[in-house]
Amino acid sequence: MSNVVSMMTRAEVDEAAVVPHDDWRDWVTLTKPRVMSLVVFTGLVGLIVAPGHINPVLGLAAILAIAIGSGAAGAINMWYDHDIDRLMRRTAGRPIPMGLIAPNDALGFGIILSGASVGLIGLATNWVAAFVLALSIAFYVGIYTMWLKRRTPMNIVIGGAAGAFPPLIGWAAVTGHIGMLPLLMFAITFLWTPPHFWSLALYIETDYELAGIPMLPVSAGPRETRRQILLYSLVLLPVSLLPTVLGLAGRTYGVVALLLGIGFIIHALAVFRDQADGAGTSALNDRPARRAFRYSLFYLTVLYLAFAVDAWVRTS
Amino acid sequence: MTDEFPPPIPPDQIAAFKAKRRGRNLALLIALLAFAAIFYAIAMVRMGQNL
Repeated sequence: MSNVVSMMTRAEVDEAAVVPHDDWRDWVTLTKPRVMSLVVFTGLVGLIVAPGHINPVLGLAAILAIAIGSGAAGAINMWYDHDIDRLMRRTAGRPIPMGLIAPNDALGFGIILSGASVGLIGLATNWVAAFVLALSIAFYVGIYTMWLKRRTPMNIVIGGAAGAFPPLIGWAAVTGHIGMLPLLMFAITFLWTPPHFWSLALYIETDYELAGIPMLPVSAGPRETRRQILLYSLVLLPVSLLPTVLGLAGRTYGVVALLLGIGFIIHALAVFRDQADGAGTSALNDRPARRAFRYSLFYLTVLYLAFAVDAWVRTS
Repeated sequence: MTDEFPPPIPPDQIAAFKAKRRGRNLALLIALLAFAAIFYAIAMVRMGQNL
C-alpha cells in the first residue's frame, strides 16, 4: 500500500476520487464523432473525385488521419470552451462540464492527436495534404474557437471555413496539389455552413445568449438571421452549379445540385416567412427552422454523394 | 508537527486511481500498437511503390 501511495501525487489521487471511472466512450465524445463523420465523408469524396490513383492502404491512412485531425480539433475546442459549454443545454452533457475528463487531459489528448494526424497523412501521402490538415486544425482552434466565436456574430461565417477543408485534404492526398474542383467544394461547404448553424441557433437562441456567444440571432435578432439564411441559400445555388458550368463535374451532379439547391431555398423561404412580429419571433414554434436544419444535413450529404457518383459515372 | 503530514489516503481512492491508470495504460498500449501497425503498412506500400 505504501508503495502505491509513494508512486502517486496527492492531486492524482484526489482526481481519481472526483472522476471515479474512466470510460473510453467519454474520450470518443471528446472528438465530436458526429462532426467527424461529416468531415470524413467530405474528405473521402475529395479523395474519390481527385484524378489519379492512390493505393487503398494509403487512402485509408489519409482518411484515418482526417478523422483523427477532426477529433483533435474537437477535443481542443471542448477544452477551450468548457466554461461556456456548462451553460448551454446542448453542450452541458459533454465530458468536461460533466466532470468526467479533466480540462488539461483533454488539451493533451487534442495536441497528441493533432501531431499524430498531421504526421500520419504526411508520411502516408504527401506534405501538401499534411499542411492543409494542420491548417484546418489551426483554423478551427485558433481562428474560430479562440478568436471569433466569442467576439463577433460573423463567427460561423469565417470560422465555418474550418469544416470546408476536408475535400481539399482528400484531393491533395491523391494529387499532391490543390485543384479548382476541391476549391469549389470548399466554397460550397463554406456557404452552406452559416445557414446550417443559424437555423439551429434560431431555436436554441436563449442558450447562446446565456453563454454570451454573439450568435446572429442573439446579436442581430431573429429577423436579420432569417434574412441572412435566405440570402446564403440564394448564393449557394449558383455556386453549387459552378462545377458543372465549368466542366469540372458532369450533368448528374448538376441536376442533383439544382434540385437540392431549390429545396434549400424553399426551406429558407419558409424560415424567412415564419415571423409573428417585427422582431422576427417565430409564429410556428420554429418548426421551419428545425426543418431547414435537418434539410441542410440532407443537402450536404446528397450533394457530396452526387460528386462521388458523378466522378464514377464519368470515369467508367 | 503532525499537522504537516497529509491525512492518509482512503483505500477506495487508491483502488479507483489504480483502476483508472490501468485503463489508460491499456488504451495507450492499444493505440501505440495500432499506430505501429499502420506505419508498418504504410512503409511496406511506399517501399513497394519505389521498387
